[in-house]
Amino acid sequence: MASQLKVDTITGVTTAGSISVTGEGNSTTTNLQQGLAKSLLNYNQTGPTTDNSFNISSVSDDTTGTFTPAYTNVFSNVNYSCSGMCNTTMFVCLEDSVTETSETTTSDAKMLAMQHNGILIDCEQTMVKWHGDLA
Amino acid sequence: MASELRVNTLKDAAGANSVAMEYVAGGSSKAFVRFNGTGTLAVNKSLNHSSVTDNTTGNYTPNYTNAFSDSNSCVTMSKKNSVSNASFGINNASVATTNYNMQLYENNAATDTDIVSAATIGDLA
Repeated sequence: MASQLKVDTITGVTTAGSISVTGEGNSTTTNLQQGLAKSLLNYNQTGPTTDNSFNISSVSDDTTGTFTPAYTNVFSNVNYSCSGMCNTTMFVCLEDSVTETSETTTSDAKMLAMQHNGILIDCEQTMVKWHGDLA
Repeated sequence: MASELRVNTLKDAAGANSVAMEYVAGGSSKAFVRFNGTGTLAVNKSLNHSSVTDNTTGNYTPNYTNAFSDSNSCVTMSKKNSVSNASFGINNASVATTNYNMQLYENNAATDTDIVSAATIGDLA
């Protein structure tokens, strides 16, 4: 029978921040909270415009090919996972450790969009998602 | 007490923001990892990863705890650039049900990196 649950918040019983979801193979389970992307960003730096985002309060357009998304709700620590790509033949990565003195923080992370030849470039479509623990 | 809830659709209390459970299960990342690949490899944070194998310089194989149902899962990666404005790349060399391989380059040379991230979306076995 079809069912529909209307709630604002889902909380685990044993552990408030841990709910299991049965996987597609009907055998193993995956952790709902851990598997959810905590932030996402679709950013056009040529505008610059933020075309789509979740849990991103703002994006600082720093310099060519360098921008810094700030989170609305911060992470609990800096050990979050951040992965993404740009269109055409470029890559996006975390901040440059040579030119920057600070590492990724719980409230933001500097991004680089770079061509294969090492030249930074404003990318029309940068897509990034974050996983980790919210504060 | 542990409990199990079986529903097809989730909505907020106002009846908006509907999401079908197939999107909750299918759209959630089933695995992610962040690790330091320099020196003795250290996993900083992970979900559904049993280990990360340090193969050679800049070459790593993250291994899943629970396998995926097929090798068509979607893996995205990112790394920190450790050389100022040097060219860099991430090559997703292979994706299997139990692991995937990643190759990191800077200045056309395989390079270990201290911040490496990856996330996988797909169907668990």
